[in-house]
Amino acid sequence: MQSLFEDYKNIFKKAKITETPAVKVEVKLDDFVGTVAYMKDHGFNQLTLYTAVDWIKEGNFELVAILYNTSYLQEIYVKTFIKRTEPRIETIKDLYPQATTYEREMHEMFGIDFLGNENLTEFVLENWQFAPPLRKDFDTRQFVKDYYEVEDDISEREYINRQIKYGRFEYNERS
Amino acid sequence: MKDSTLDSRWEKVANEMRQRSMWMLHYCTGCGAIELPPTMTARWDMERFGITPFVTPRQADILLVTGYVALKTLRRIVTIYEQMPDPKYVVGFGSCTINGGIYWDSYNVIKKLEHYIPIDLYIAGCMPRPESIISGFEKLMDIIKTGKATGWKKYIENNDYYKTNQRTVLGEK
Amino acid sequence: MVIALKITLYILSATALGLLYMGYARKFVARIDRRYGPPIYQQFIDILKLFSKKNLISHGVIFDLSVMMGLGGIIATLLFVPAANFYSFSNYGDLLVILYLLMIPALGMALGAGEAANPNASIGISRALILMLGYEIPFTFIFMAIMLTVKSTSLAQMAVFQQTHGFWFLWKMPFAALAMIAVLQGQLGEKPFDIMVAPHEIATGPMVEFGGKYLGMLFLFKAISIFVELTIFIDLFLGGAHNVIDLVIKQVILFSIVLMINAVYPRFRTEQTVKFYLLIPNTLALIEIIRVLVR
Repeated sequence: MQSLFEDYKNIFKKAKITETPAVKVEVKLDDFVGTVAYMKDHGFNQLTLYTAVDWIKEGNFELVAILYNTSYLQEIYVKTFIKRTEPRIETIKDLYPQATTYEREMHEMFGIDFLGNENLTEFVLENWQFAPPLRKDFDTRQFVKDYYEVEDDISEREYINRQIKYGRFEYNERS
Repeated sequence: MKDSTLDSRWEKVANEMRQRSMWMLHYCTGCGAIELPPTMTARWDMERFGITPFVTPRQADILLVTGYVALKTLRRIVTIYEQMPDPKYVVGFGSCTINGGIYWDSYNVIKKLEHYIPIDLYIAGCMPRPESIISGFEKLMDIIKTGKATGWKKYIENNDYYKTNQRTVLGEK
Repeated sequence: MVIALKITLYILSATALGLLYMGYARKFVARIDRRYGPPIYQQFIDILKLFSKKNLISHGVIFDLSVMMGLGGIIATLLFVPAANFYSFSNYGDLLVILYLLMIPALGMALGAGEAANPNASIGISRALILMLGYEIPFTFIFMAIMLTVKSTSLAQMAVFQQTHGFWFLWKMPFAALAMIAVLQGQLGEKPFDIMVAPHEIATGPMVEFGGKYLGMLFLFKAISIFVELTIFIDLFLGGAHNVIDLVIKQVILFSIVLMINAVYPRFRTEQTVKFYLLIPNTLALIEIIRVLVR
């Protein structure tokens, strides 16, 4: 396995290897799909995960694809950075067919656009008309206060006291 | 004998019958349904009270909302609740139906189920054990017998209130 | 006048006995599972609760009439079956009439299921009719064997034949008795042949849209059909019955055997059911016919 790793080090002259011995490779945005295709040709035949991380202070998304080699039992992380203001990249569904579902989830939760994937419909959230919720500038506490609390606020203790008074509460003292 | 006294006498007899043969709907909405199979099988037998699971809402009396209710689930629960014939009872299971539970600040889970469908009984816990479930069902049998479980009447009388709340939170369905 | 009163009493007591047998079935299966079950009178409480529902959700006139067809068909069959030396109409009709009338409730349910427009109901009723195709063929062969011995087609004559000659067909024709137990499992809808009411696969099949008062009438239909089918077996193989207590004892013992097979087996698929019925009970009934013809 060490010899294979040396092979890849020669190829990744332009890329940055960020951590060893767990191999995490960081490439430029234009080289991402080419690197994943090269990995697939050299035996990394399983796509374990394809997801995104939001770095709000630096102002970009980080796309991570975890590839796994089932004959040598070796794992590699391929990363790239996209700008937050124009999140756009090509799809990798021709190499790994299950990437369509990962890209559908990322489109719904982060708002990243994948060119070439025509299956970007709604997935988990039905009828969602607001900002993509997993971005770090989406304030969940304020959203819950505006959207879900219907009546004028009574405290939680008083709400539970009211239910007990109506005789609708069943609780066991010991458990 | 006037019609109203005959009606009320028949209601007393009918409530005695309804409390001893409750049929619950076998639709597990959330993670709390994992405590239902031990309650139904041989160790904490639920069938000796007359409670059995039935699979279609046209034949069931009790709707058990077990666990958290996402927006997708709320639409289906409202459809199922309107398909059941009167009189029907709703039991809120676990703490997520009371005030949101551990999902109290999540963007996709509703906090107080009482604004959307009328509820007759809450059973506290995360998850409640089978002993709590059976003690809760005994309390439900009590309030059916004395005629206090009138959630289905509240839905007919205050239909505007419930429908407005549902439409607002589901985004104009 | 007196006869009309007696026939009404007969129908009502058949219904009450059928409901008690359904409660007995739940208690027996629960005890096999090592737990307590509901009390024996549980089905009466269920039917009273079902008849006190306030809404009636209907899908049209044919939907309402299909339940009537089921209940009316099984009551008509009940009147042609002799039970405990009480012949209501059985002087006017024989086993062929009973065989014809036993199919009417299933056709009524097929009409109702077609009107309900639920795909679960259509799948369920097509499976039920295929199951009925399976068990009708051995049923015909079995009573052909008994008809050749008794030289008459009347069910009352078959019972009287066994009582006067002093033996039961249970040990004179054992192959036919074994085949008839398989047919009885299919008629009653108990495992391993309960593909038509598979609750967790197709949501109780044809009964999926019936609720409230319709379901109460379907439970009455099931209670009377248990009584009818057990009595047919007793008249064919167990020598009829002399009085009511004799009839009840024989029905309870026979129903316990059926329930013991029900509690232990899983469910057959549709093609496995038809293959089983075409192979094993047919062969046994044909062996019986050959034995009768050779003698």
